[in-house]
Amino acid sequence: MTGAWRSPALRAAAVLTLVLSATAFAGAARARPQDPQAALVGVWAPDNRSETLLAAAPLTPEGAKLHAQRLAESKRPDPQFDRTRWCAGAGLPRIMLMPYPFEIRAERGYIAFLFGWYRWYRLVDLSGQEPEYALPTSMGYSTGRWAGRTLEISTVGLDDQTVLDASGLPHSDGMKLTEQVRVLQSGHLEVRFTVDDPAFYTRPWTSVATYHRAPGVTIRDDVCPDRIARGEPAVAGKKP
Amino acid sequence: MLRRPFATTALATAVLLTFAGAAFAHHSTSEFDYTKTVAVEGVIKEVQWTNPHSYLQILSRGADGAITQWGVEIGAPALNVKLGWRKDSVKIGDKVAMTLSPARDGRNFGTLRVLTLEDGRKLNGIAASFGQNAGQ
Amino acid sequence: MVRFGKGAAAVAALWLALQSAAPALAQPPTAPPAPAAHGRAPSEPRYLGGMWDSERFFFQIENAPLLPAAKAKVDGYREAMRSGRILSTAWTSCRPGGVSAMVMVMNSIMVLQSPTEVTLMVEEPRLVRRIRIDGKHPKTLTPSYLGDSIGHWEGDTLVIDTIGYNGDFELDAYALPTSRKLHTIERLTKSADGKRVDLQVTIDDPENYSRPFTVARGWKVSDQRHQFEYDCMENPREEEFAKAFYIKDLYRPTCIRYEGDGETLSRIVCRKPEK
Repeated sequence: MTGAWRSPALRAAAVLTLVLSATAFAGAARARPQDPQAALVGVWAPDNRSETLLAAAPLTPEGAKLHAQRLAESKRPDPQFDRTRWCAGAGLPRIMLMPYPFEIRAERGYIAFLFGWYRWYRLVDLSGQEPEYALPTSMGYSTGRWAGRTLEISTVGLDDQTVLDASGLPHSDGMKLTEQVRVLQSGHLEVRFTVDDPAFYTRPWTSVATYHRAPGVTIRDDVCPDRIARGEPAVAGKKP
Repeated sequence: MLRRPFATTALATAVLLTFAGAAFAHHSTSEFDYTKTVAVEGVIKEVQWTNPHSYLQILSRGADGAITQWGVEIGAPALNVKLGWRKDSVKIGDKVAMTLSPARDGRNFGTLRVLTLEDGRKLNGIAASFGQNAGQ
Repeated sequence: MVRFGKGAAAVAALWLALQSAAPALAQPPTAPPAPAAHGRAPSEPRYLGGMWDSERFFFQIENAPLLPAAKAKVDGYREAMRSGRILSTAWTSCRPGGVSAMVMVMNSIMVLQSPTEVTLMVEEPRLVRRIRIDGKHPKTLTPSYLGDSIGHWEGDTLVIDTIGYNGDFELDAYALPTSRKLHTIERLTKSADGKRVDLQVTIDDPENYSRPFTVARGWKVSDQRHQFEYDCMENPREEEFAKAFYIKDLYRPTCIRYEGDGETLSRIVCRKPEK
């Protein structure tokens, strides 16, 4: 042992350096645990509350016409394209964009999303088997696989009665939605949504959404019809 | 399964509900008269695959040549899938023949018993298994 | 041997505390997990996770020991049904209570189980029940459709205790009533071969029933990997409400503008309730 270690100041400085590094390291670990699946788990809230896909959508002429109609309709009191107004399901990807928190759980071959809006949830099957489905549904059929630190979710069987986002972007029931989900170094959750739907879009296109952790938040039971009964909007921030 | 006599409409409906599942959990379906069967032939105008009930709209040409429209409840998606229906089982423009139990109030509205497609294939509605004496 | 002074010892204690708070630090980076085995329940009796199907659908609870006032109400509902009215309950107005989903469950139930929570993800009626394992009921509870559920194991049986219901829902399709005094105890036991769950639901509501009573239900292992979907609010049609008998005013539709007319395709689109 060298004489330098007999110096209390030096010893304290050494310990302090260790502690500070540990704190920084611990902070980063809390923001992004080493196990990518464990990193996803928890309650998240959207950074952007506009409930829209932010990228410019490469609409076909038919898609552009439909979208324009809906944008015009959304300025009127009763936009009929937007079924969330009467508490019907938002579908995917829209439910991932709504201004409500959601919780991710990971257990036994599934990733589960529990949404803060009207009891909706989704299950992503990690078994590797292709989904078979008899009828399209608003949330479709999601399968997932890990690619490094990114969870890739593929969803098919999405019925065409929903819209991609609050602006009314259309989709057909032939749409394939891919989501690349990962936790960034910053601790934010990033989801890259890729829409592949030749019925309305000239090519597959990607839009990114990010979310922050909401650790003090518990996903509570939300009963949308009770809000409507009170004269409140079905979706927070909208007109009732 | 059949534990009770068909003593009253409510009890009969109760027995029917044991078979029916989804749509009947939703409501008691006393709006339909299961003792009657109406035959309707026509062309599918529209298909609504929705909850809690799915519907078909049929354009039917009567003996006098006039066209009437019928609304037919065909079940609920989760139940229909179990009965063998798929998304494209019926499409706009398909020619179909149906037997249905009509609404009690006499409107052109009913619940499907059996739908027969042009190629002879049959698809059941909820009321397919109900006997003629049900509900009395 | 290096000896540290008191201050350094305190800092070292902090360092140790941080180590235990961030256990991942102590472990080497792990590779991303290989695709996990499909979520079938493993052989442990105290594990209920996985995809289950309702063994049999029941729309009615039979022989409930109704108190006279409650029985008079329920008899009135049956009269309404006999006269051709359709009972409009919490279930049919798309806001079912948690216990209604247990006694009238229709299709699949996905169960997630972690050491601290059992989560029931019910396909129809769509809802998510969260049961805190070895939790305690809070001293104050806002009444709700699902109540507050805590669970503990008694041998190989999961016992779920729920209070804090809002009384704004009915138990079954014949509109058996509930009140805020409702207290339910559910006992779930997996069979020895792991293929079934026996479910006993005890309903204790002294405002409506003369004594607690138990309803027996069952789940069986599902061979599905995906649940289907039930969206009760998707297409409320004018026909649904034409002959409705509303158990409560709360269940009246506030969706009051509609397209179509009777036989033609009708939808009901919501707008603000008129004063």
